[in-house]
Amino acid sequence: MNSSQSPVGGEPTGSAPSDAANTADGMLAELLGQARFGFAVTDAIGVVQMINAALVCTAQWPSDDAAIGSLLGEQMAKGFPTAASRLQATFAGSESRSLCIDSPAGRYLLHVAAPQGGLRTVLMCPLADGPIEESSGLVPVLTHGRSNLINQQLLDRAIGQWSPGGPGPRSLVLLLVSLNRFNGVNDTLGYDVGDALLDLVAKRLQSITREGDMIMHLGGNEFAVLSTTGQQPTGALSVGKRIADLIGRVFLVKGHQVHIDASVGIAVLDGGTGQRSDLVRHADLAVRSIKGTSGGVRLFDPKMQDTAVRQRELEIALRRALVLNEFVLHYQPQLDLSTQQVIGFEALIRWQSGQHGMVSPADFIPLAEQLGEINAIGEWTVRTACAEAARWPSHISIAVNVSPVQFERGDLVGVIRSALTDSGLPPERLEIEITEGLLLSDSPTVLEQLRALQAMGLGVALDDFGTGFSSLSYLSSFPFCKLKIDRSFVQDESDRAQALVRSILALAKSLGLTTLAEGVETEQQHRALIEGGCDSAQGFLFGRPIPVDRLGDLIPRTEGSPA
Amino acid sequence: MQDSLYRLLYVSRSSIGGDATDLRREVDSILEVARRNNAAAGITGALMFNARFFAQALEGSQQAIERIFENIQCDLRHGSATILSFEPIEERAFLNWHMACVDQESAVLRAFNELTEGPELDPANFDGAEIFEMLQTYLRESHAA
Ligand SMILES: Cc1cc2nc3c(=O)[nH]c(=O)nc-3n(C[C@H](O)[C@H](O)[C@H](O)COP(=O)(O)O)c2cc1C
Repeated sequence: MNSSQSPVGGEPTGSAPSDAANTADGMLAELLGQARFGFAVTDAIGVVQMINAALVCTAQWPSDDAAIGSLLGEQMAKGFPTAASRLQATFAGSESRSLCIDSPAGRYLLHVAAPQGGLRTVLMCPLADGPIEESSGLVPVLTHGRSNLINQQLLDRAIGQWSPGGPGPRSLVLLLVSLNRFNGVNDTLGYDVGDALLDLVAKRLQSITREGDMIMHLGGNEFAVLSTTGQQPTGALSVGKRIADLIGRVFLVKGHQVHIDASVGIAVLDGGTGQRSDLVRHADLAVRSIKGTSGGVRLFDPKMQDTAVRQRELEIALRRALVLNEFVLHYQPQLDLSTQQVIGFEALIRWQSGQHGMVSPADFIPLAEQLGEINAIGEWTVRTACAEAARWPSHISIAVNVSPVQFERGDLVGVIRSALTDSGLPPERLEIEITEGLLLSDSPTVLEQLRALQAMGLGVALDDFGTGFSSLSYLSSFPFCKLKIDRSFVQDESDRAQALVRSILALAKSLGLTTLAEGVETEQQHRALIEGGCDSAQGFLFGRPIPVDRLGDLIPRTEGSPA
Repeated sequence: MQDSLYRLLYVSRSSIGGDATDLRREVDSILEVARRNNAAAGITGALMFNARFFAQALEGSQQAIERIFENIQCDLRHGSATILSFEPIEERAFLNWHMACVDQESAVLRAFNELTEGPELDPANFDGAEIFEMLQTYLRESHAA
């Protein structure tokens, strides 16, 4: 029923210039024009000053031009005869009101906001069947599509205008609900299933919340529930848990079974959040602190702010780390178990941050992946490691870890080729280490890149073998030359773990793969690996990762380096 | 134009605590509402329950089933519903029943109890065809009786 391209009527003299869409006003006009809900601004007695397409249509005006300057209440009374007197009274009165009005076309919620003496805003949206209480307080607003901006403004306004009237202790609670896996629904089942799902989510939220609570779709996969209950924070937490429970229940939408989950972040005014202007930010921090995709409920805690601040600082520092030369590579020796000679090194990155001190790769690598910095850091690593290894004796190899993100974005094959050319390192001496996670993505381009690397003559090792899915099908379908057995098996001296190590070794041998055991720390582990026929090993028993200037003890330098 | 017929089969976990009387009382109130709503929506079906699980068949137009199922999913008296099947059917199996309910004393219910025994049972492990067969057997036998 939305007659799409008609602009929000504003200036009676004509429509806004087309490049106005670039300005905030233009954007607002465009959004309002496309919104499914009706919106109008009237003067103090109800004369229309501006109106959007949806409301022109619902109020049955022939055009926006006909609407501007007319009385909104009078026109609407024609389409909603059963509500005529209430409509007239609302527009004649001077108070904000919410009305529930019926026409043969359906039931609508009409909200008229009347700030003292000035212009009024009118909001009208279709309601699902079923009874709804009229109230002059908070109203449920269920919309989606491109109306996010408006809903966020409404949310801010509702928070600003709330007053703790009524009996008993009352508090204002904001629950931010973020849907996990929703984008996947849009991608695989299409937008009409996605939109229908959002409607159902809104209804489920409504079935849990109380009368007077306000539910808003903030856009994409986010909803806000503004609730005014007593008994905080227990009340809010139990509402949050019920939301997570209900949203996690399977949906049937247009013939499809759909599973999503909700993460719910909660902020309570005067219960951790002192100022209402902080509610949105705090609930947002709480929702972001929920990791993973299976949902959960979390109440804002001031510590989250510290974590978020540190995270922000770490991000900024990480973006500058390359330029400031804060990364170094440490090298851990790898031994041939039959000769006990060093045959290679694994390059391990370290970040010595000027601001944060030594930061563990377990902390900054995921961050670098998220920020997209991993490509530049990965390139630096390969180039530095190749340049260093080129100065080693020709029987010593170098292993470099590569993140799955480098396969997704960036030109990994090109970077490696150029690192080899620039350093003069023969490709056979470079080995890249990948993890199973990469293979899970099941992408043909991953396989192509692995084949290209193999064709260049370098080796590909599968890292942390045994910890993930360890599907045997990878071993036959991907071009590896080496399995790295995870430290957790090597260090576990139980019979089961040892039996597992022996069978991995046997399996690798029969597939023609070289084996390397990680994390060897004791002589006993060392002996067991030799007995099992493991080819090579690394671990503290043979040497910790060390900076380049201390490598001299382990390998004779060929050229250019002082003894 | 007649909408094509569908049948939904699901199993869920009961969250109704208390004793057999409490359970019976809640289920009676569910059935009362269900029969009223289902009649209006052109839905037929059957329900089977014990202290831990519900199993239900709903037949009707796809749209009507989805709407009623959405109400059922918002009901906190049960949870962890798993859909066993949702498929087009030729004809209704529970004609005349806006919601039949398997009698607690019947042989079918004893079979259902046996099927749902065991501490770590996952509703996803139920077999839709088996549940459907049980519901049908019950209706056949209780009619013959
Ligand atoms: C296991 C179970 C089965 C139910 N089956 C139905 C049903 O077939 N039809 C129905 O309308 N409601 C059914 N309900 C009840 C709904 O969850 C909900 O309470 C009801 O649809 C609300 O109807 P009302 O809005 O008319 O009160 C069932 C509930 C449970 C727990």
